[in-house]
Amino acid sequence: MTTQVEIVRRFRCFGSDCTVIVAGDDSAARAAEDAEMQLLAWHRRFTRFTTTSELSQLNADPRPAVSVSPVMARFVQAAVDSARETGGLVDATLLGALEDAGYRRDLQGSLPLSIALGLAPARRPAGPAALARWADVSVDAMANTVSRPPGLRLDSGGVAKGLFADMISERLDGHESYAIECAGDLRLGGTDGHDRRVDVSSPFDGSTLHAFELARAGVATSGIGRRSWLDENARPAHHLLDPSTGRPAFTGVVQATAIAPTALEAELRAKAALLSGPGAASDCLAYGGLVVLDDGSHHLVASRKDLP
Amino acid sequence: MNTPPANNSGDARTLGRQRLAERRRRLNRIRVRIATVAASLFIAAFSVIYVQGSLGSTGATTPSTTTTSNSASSSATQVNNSPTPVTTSQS
Repeated sequence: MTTQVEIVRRFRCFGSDCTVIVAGDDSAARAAEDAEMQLLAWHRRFTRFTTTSELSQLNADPRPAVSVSPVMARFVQAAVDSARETGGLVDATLLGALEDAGYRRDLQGSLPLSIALGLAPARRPAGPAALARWADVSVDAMANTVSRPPGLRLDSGGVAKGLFADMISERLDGHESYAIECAGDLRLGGTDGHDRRVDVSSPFDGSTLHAFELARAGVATSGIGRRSWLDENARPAHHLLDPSTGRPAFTGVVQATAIAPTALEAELRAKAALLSGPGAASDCLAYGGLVVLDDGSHHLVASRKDLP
Repeated sequence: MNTPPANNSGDARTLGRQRLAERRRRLNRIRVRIATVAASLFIAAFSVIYVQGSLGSTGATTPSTTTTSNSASSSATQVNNSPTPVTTSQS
C-alpha cells in the first residue's frame, strides 16, 4: 500500500463551499493556492449580486454587442451550448424569472425539503421555454464579443461552476492526482490514475447515499434541497426553474447526480435529469449517476457509455 | 363641578362592566391565538425532527469526511493511503 501526500484547501466561494486537492511534489501547495485565488477571482467577476461584476455590467449594457473578457466569452458560449444540448432545459437566460420567484440575493438558509414538498404543486416534468431566448445569444470567440438583445440577462449558475472546475483542471493536469470541487461540481484527474471516492449526499439529511470510485471524471449534483424559500404567496420556491413556466420545477426528482467526462457536462446532465422528472431522468445520465425522488428513495443509474 | 345624575352613574357602571367584559373576551381571544400558534410551531418542528429521524440519520450520526477546520479558508497537508474522499451535493 502506498502513501500519498495531498494539499487540501477548503474555502467559501460561489456562495458555497469549494475544495481544491492536489497531490504530488512541492509544487502542489502552490498550485492549490493558485487555484483557490483563481476561483475567488472568477467568483468576483461572475457574481450577479454585485453591480460591479463583469456579469452584472454585461447584463446592464444597453448595446447589442459587448466586448468581454476571454473567460466571460467562454462562459457565454458554454451557456448557449448547454441550452442547445439539453433542448432548452438548461437555460441561463431565466434570470428575470428567477428574481420574480424571489431569488434576488445570496441565500444561505433553506426551507426544509420535507415541508417544501408538502406544500409543492402537482409534479410534472419541466420543458423548454417557448421563446428560447438563449438562441438569440452568440459569441465571437476571436473578438471576445457577446451579442444578444439588450435587456436579455444571463445567470452564471451551475454552468459557470462546472466550467470553472474544468478550467482549473486544465491547469492541474500535470499533477499526480487532483480534485476540484466548485460548489458541488467536481472534476477529478491526475497522472497516477488512482480512484478517488466520491460520496453523494442525501438532500434530506446530508447522509451518504452512495460512494462512486472515479479517477478521471466530472461529477455534478443538482437538487432542490438548498437555496429554497417561501415566496410572497407562501408557495415553496427554489433556484431550479421550469423554463416552460418560469416557476420553480417540482418534477418528482429532488436530486440528480451525474458522472461525465467533464464537470460542465456532468452539470448539464444532472440538471436535465432533475428537470426531466422520474420517467426520463435516467436517459440524461449516460455515464451513470444517482437519482433521488420525492419520497426519499434513490436509485443508481448504470453507465451506458465509457468515460474517455 | 356638576354632580352627574343618578341614572348617568348607573349607565357608567353598566358601560364599565361592558368594557371589562369586552377586555376579558379580547384577552381570551389573544390567549387562544397564542396557544394555537405555539401548538402549530411545535407540530411543525416535531414533524421536521420526526421525518429526519425516520430517514435514519441526524446531524450527530451523519458520516463526515471533513478533516480540516471550517474557517473561511483552510489548508491542510494530508498523508493518506488513498486519495482524500470528496463529496458531491447540491450547492
